[in-house]
Amino acid sequence: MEKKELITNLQLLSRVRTGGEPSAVWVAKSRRAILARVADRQAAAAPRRSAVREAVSAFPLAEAFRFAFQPAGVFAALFVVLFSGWAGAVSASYGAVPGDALYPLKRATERAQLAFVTSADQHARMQVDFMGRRVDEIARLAQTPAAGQGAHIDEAVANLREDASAVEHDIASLRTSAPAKAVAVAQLVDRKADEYHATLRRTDRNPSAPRRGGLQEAKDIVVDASVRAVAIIIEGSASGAVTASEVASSVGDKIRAVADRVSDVEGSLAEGAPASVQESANQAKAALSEATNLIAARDLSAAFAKLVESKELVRAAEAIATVAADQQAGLAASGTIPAAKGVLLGDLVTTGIGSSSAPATVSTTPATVGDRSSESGTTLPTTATSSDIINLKL
Amino acid sequence: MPNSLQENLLLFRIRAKQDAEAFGKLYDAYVQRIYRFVYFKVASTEEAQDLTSETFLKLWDYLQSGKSVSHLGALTYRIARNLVIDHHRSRQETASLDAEERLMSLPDVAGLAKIERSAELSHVLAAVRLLKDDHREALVMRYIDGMTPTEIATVIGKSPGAVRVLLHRSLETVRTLITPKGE
Repeated sequence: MEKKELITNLQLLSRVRTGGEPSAVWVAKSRRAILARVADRQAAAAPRRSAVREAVSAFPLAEAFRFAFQPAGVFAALFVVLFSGWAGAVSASYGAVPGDALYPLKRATERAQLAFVTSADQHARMQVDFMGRRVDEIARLAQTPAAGQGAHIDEAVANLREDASAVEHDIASLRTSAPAKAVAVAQLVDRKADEYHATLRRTDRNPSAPRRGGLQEAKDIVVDASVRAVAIIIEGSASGAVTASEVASSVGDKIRAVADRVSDVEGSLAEGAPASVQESANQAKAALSEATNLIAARDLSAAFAKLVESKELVRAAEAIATVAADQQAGLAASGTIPAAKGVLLGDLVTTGIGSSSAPATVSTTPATVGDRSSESGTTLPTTATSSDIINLKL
Repeated sequence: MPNSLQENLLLFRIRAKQDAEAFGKLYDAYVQRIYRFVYFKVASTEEAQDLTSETFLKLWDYLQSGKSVSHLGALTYRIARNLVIDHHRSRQETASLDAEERLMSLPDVAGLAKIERSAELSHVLAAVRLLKDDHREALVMRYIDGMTPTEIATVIGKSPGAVRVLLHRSLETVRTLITPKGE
């Protein structure tokens, strides 16, 4: 057996019980038993840690700020400033995209601009602007089919992730030194992310755009940045930096953005798509509906939690649809795949066991984010203190 | 495998509020992978079930201890791995069961029937079960659970380069085992 064939067979093992898939009955029974034992242990547990302290440690906001300040790039940019003959090249590089000869100059110029900014506030605002440039690059690359298009989009997406990570880092430092500025930057991210997401969505609808991969990842990065920004805004409302109406408006915008994604998933459902895709989309809509109701009840933190849940559900639906489409394309292309592999596709569709490259989401049937019956009991407690950002009542 | 935003939200609820339902969601997200990880390292389904349950109870205790958790997935795998090691030590289990015997002892008759339709798959499964523990562990994490060499390195405490070597040797061993003699 060839190595490639062996690897394919190993991957197929994950989709059958004898490959280590636990029985659903045991999973449910074990879950109940573990939660019961956990509840018993709570009584003897140590006092709770501060919710704020936990919130800060749970959301380290760019734990890895890996933005490399590359001396070579900065010197190149300084050269440009010193010798006006380079000005034209720098100006021309603004329109460059990954794969263009001037693109490295564009990135080096951006790094140089950042190097001359001294405040985290200005640094963050500049990075948000650069995120927009990356989105623009992705959109232009996606609309122009060319050799290496996928790799160039991936490069732009990697740069987008780097920029988003830098924004997070700046907000994290502002949260301790200047909380009001952190909230202001978060509001900027919140507004801009909506624009960026709309651009990527329009691009995704273009027939010449790649069907999957970088574009989807870019949308995920933008939505994640946006959701994290809303978390900061909610936190800021405790100190009066923003009003309840502003927070409600931000959460409402995010609900609409996620609803758009649900509608995109439903609109792209091909015949024979797994039922779990529609099921996840339906659950996402249900969570969004609950979030909307919670906004009306002014329970914005709970609405935010529902928003995050719906975002993950729609992401799971997209991932399952992609895996199923790949499987179907593979089957159609080979035409000689043994019957047993056809059965395995059936397993994928009926059990929601998907590619495990991102198991937490791809293999997510609705159970990954909690079954609906238990979900109704997960609304965050209402007895927390005002410093508890998650239970914050506005 | 850095924590996702959703995992951080759940960790927040578990640690700040001891929210059992949030822990239930983590269980939902990881139980299949952890079960599979353990399943290939022990002799019976019952042992796999017990050790998987124990893994999550230990995880809860760890999360309540206040220590930082930057890679929840890696932490969960490490707990499972240590429990399996302790389990084998306590049983002084030095010899593996014969692969055929293990295959026959699996209780999932329907699944077994399905896999038997593909002779290739059953041979691969039997060969995987014959591998040395660390080889099998790396192979399962890489090709069945889809983890990257870097993620596997975090779990088993080796360098990504060493993991790649391990994977290469494991694949070659499986290929040797399933290739009929004389070919």
